[in-house]
Amino acid sequence: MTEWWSYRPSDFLMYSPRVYLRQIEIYNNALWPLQLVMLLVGIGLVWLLLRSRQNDGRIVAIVLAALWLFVGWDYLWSRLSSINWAATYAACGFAVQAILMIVVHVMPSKSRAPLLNGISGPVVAAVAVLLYPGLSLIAGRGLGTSEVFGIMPDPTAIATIGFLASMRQRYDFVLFVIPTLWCIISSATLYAMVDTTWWIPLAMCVLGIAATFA
Amino acid sequence: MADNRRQSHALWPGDTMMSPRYSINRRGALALMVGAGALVGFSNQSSAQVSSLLTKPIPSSGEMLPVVGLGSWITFNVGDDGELQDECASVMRAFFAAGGRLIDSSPMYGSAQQTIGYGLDKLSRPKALFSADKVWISDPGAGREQIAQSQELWGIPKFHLLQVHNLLSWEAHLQTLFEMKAAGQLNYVGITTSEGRRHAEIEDIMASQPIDFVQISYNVLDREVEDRILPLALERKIAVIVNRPFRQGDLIADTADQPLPDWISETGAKNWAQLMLTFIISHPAVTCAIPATSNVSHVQENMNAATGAFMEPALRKRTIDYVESL
Ligand SMILES: NC(=O)c1ccc[n+]([C@@H]2O[C@H](COP(=O)([O-])OP(=O)(O)OC[C@H]3O[C@@H](n4cnc5c(N)ncnc54)[C@H](OP(=O)(O)O)[C@@H]3O)[C@@H](O)[C@H]2O)c1
Repeated sequence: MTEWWSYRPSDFLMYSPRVYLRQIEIYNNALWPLQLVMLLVGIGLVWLLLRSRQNDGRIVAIVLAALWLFVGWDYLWSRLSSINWAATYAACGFAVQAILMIVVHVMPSKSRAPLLNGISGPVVAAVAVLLYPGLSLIAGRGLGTSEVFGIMPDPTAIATIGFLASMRQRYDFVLFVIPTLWCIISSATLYAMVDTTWWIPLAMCVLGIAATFA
Repeated sequence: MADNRRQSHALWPGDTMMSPRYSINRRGALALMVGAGALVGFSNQSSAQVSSLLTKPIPSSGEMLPVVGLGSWITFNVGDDGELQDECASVMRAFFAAGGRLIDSSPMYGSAQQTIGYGLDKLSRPKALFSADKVWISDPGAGREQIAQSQELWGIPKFHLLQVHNLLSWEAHLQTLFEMKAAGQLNYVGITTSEGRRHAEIEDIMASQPIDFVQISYNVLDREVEDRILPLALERKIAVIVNRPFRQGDLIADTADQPLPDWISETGAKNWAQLMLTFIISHPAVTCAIPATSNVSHVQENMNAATGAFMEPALRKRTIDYVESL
């Protein structure tokens, strides 16, 4: 891209907020009541983290990997890409994240319990699972556009950062890259759409990363 | 006053905003523009329904084009949402019913091409359509394949105009487009940019390549192209399509609460959108402006700007001064 400095976030927004939100609503309707199941799955993962027993980290990583694949396929690839061609690349990124989760947290033969690294990681994950769906109400978008963990990318990425903050592993810094990039993209998109909650994905991501070093 | 203007509305030689070098014959150009307007219509409508639209000739062929077309960035990118596809088809119906012809799109615009194809099907393929699309792919060898895909999405056997979008891999793509034109697979070749980007390269290409069209951003506040590109277009007989006539809607949003100038009746415009459009299409080098909209009443409003008359230079200057003072 030439003269990249002359572009603003709004130059990359290729659909109207109305089209974007209608698509989320239609997607949510098509999957209902999977949202409730995902809520329980999310709560279960937070509980596993807090329990922190042998193999719990592996179970969490397997479930998260499956959800990254699911969100990448069913939302990014199958839906968002119809209004944003770049979503196909994002979907590939989500698949890579799933693979990384397996390689770093599941494949190593020595299974280690997640080192519960303070409470902040699980708190970030719990916020993404329990409170993120309510954000659409605060933003005045209505419940139909709620973003639920395991269904939509933002809470899945933020919860993953929270989980990662609790599960220190040797090469796990690699695992932060894609969720962090996603949060940046999401905040920039919401900012371009003049959504009042634009800063939340980024802020949650920063909190999650801070929790890692806490 | 308005009637006065109708008699003398002009393409202006030696206007303060234009170099005198590029003056053209007023009467001849006016006859071309207004006279042929009545001929342009929506094939499926009776011509009586289309009041005489202002048109201008494509310099390289003399073919007349209505001075207002239709863009599709964002507004027609509605994915597979059937309800929204129908809304876009209604916008297209209103556009053709008002005598519109040129619709502009690009493979870059998500599902916009697909939406246009849907609308054209729904409207039984209006014969008035002037299809303007783009090549937008960095691989220099992939142009033809992308064009074939775009044709399929529009559901048309060939495009009237293909433009190299934002000059991406322009050397190779222009070559392909010239070959297609020579083989009768395309009527016109063009290049595009927006918001003032790569103007030096645009000028070089305009000066050195036999292109028919150039597409640039131009509006009452963004007038950089008046210095060199628009005069060059007149000199090289290149048609000019104007994108971002409303700065993606910001110009209208920013002026919405402001009072319209009390001399607006002299321009023939009735609202801000029409004033902005009339300003643009009154420049002698501009062939047509392509505002995008997802709203039927807006497309009607925009097309109405092409039913008035062109502004005199003094009135254009007054429009600039007024908008800049807000
Ligand atoms: N490099 C390139 O090749 C390039 C770059 C930019 C643009 N383009 C082309 O140029 C076209 C026009 O540019 P653009 O779409 O970026 O911006 P634009 O036409 O300046 O503005 C479009 C916006 O104006 C609003 N609007 C239209 N008519 C209106 C009216 N009568 N009253 C109030 N609001 C009105 C629309 O909202 P509503 O939907 O609510 O009416 C839409 O949000 C594009 O669609 C595209 O085809 C090409």
